[in-house]
Amino acid sequence: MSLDKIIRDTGKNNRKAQAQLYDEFGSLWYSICLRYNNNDEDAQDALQNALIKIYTKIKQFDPEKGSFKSWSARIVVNENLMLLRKNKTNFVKAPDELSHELTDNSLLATDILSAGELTRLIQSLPEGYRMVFNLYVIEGYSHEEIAEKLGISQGTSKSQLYKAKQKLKQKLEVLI
Amino acid sequence: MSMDNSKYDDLDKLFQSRLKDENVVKEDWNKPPRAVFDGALASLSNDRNKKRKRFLIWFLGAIIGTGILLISLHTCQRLQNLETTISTLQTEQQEYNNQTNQAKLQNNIAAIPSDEQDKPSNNLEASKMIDPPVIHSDSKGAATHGLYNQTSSYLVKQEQTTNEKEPEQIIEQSTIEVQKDNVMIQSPMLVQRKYSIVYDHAIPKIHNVVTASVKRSSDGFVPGIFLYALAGMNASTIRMTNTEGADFSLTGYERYYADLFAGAGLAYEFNDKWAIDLQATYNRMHVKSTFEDDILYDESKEIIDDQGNIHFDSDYDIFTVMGRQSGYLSLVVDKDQIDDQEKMTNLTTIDNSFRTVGLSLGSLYTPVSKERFTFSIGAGVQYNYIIQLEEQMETSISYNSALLFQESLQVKPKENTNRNFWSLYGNIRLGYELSDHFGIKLDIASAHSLSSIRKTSGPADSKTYINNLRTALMFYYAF
Repeated sequence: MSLDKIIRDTGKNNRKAQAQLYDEFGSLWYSICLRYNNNDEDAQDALQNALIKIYTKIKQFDPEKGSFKSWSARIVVNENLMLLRKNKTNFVKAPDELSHELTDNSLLATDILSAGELTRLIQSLPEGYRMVFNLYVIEGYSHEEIAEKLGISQGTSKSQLYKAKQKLKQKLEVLI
Repeated sequence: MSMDNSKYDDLDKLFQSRLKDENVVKEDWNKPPRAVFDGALASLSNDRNKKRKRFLIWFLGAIIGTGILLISLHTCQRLQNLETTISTLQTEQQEYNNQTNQAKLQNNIAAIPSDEQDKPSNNLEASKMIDPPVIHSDSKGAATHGLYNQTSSYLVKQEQTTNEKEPEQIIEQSTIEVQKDNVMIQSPMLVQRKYSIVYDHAIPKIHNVVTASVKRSSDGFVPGIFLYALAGMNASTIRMTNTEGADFSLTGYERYYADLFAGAGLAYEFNDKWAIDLQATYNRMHVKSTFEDDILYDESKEIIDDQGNIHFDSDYDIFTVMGRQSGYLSLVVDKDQIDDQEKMTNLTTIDNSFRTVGLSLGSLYTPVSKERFTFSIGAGVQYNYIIQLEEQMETSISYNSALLFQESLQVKPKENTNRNFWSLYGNIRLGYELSDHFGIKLDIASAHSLSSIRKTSGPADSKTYINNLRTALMFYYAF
């Protein structure tokens, strides 16, 4: 069955189509949830909420405005942000400094690590660091956009990103 | 969201290469638990159930409200009709009394010597000034013919009784004036015609057809509630059994295809093939029946009045949807134009008009579902209530194709009408989904009453059934 057909039937509450959509995109959605949450249980809660949103809003999806993968991933990210905002994310203050370049050994480590292991590294970051790192590096938002989404200043966004990278670098060096 | 690669360092690019959306692949670490999917569906189902409950409460409230409104309107209309009937009876009783007084005055004048009658202020003239005759205009005079007295007028009596009582109660009595060559002539009663209309358990019933709407996907079950509105045309026929003999039977029926109906309902699917449907409808129906028979001229029935005119009197019975209608005909004849045992034709048409409301419950099975098209078959039962029933009768007498007499009567059936009855139906339906929520369906249904439309006191009593074929166009909205 084509993706268009699956999407259309999901909009009609077709259970079979809903299951097919989950099988096709569930891994992507869950990996996003894992990146934004520091444990599996919270990630699954976020995924369930995101799933309900996707199924109820799928009729609003317009293929001419982008792919379904991007559209659904954006919903999952926004759902995670909403849940994290409810939990009142604590943004740790940090000096606005430039990021240090990684050593060759660090680069070697990231090359060896799998996507799952890298996700675990991100999960280990404090909540504020994790959110800004995900939004800036993985989702591609600017500091201005992140500041607007999270209700923080651009300076805070930059400092959180700096701290996140420092933490990641430390963890990678430990892994070597 | 901007994606300027120059702003990313090596660490960023390495994480992006593994974790960006387009690079994520299915692996064990990101395989989502099935319980998450089941939990999401359960939550969605709960939300839908809440919406359905709210909708059901709203819909049932609307049906109950509509029913109360219809019953109230019907009750008001019946009260108005009763008041009108009482007023009419009082007026007609007064007219009858006046005519009786006039007849007495005429007799008295006849007994007075002629020189006294020439006096300018006699009692007859005074009486006429005080009590002018009342004219009803339901009847039309006939064309000139040898059998018909050109300066005649006649009195129509209509008697309506039940089967349990003798037809002795006079409901309507009126004088009818006949117009000839644009001259209104009021003369003493020459032709008398009586209608003794007997309603022997004659209750009309309406068939109504239940419809349901189901929206489905070709790939599986699509749960949901479907609210729909429908409108269409009724075509009805009447089947009679155990009639009291060919002499009394109707000779023809006509179907009226222009009668409209409208309704609303909801359908609920409980699996991917079967649906249950609840529907409320308002119907208008007409059935036109015809009686045609020969009346033989019988010299033994001639009567000669005081003026020397010859009258021909005849009784007849018509066994109609509403019951037996007995008539009495009296015509002034010209003996030069007709001989004994020559045939005259009596043609009577009876138009029964019904208005009903119905509530139906049925099931629908959908064996074929392809893309946006569906084909379904269904069956169910319907409860009907007659809110209005009228009968219009038109009768005429002709001789050698010339119209001698024509008259119309409107009768409102009495309380021996079966206002509540059940019917069974079967239907087929073709559907097309216009969008995710809206669709259109063509429904063709046939219905049969479960019992006679007449109230019967035993198996030997005559029975009447109405068969109904209905074509409906329905529009639905799927929740």
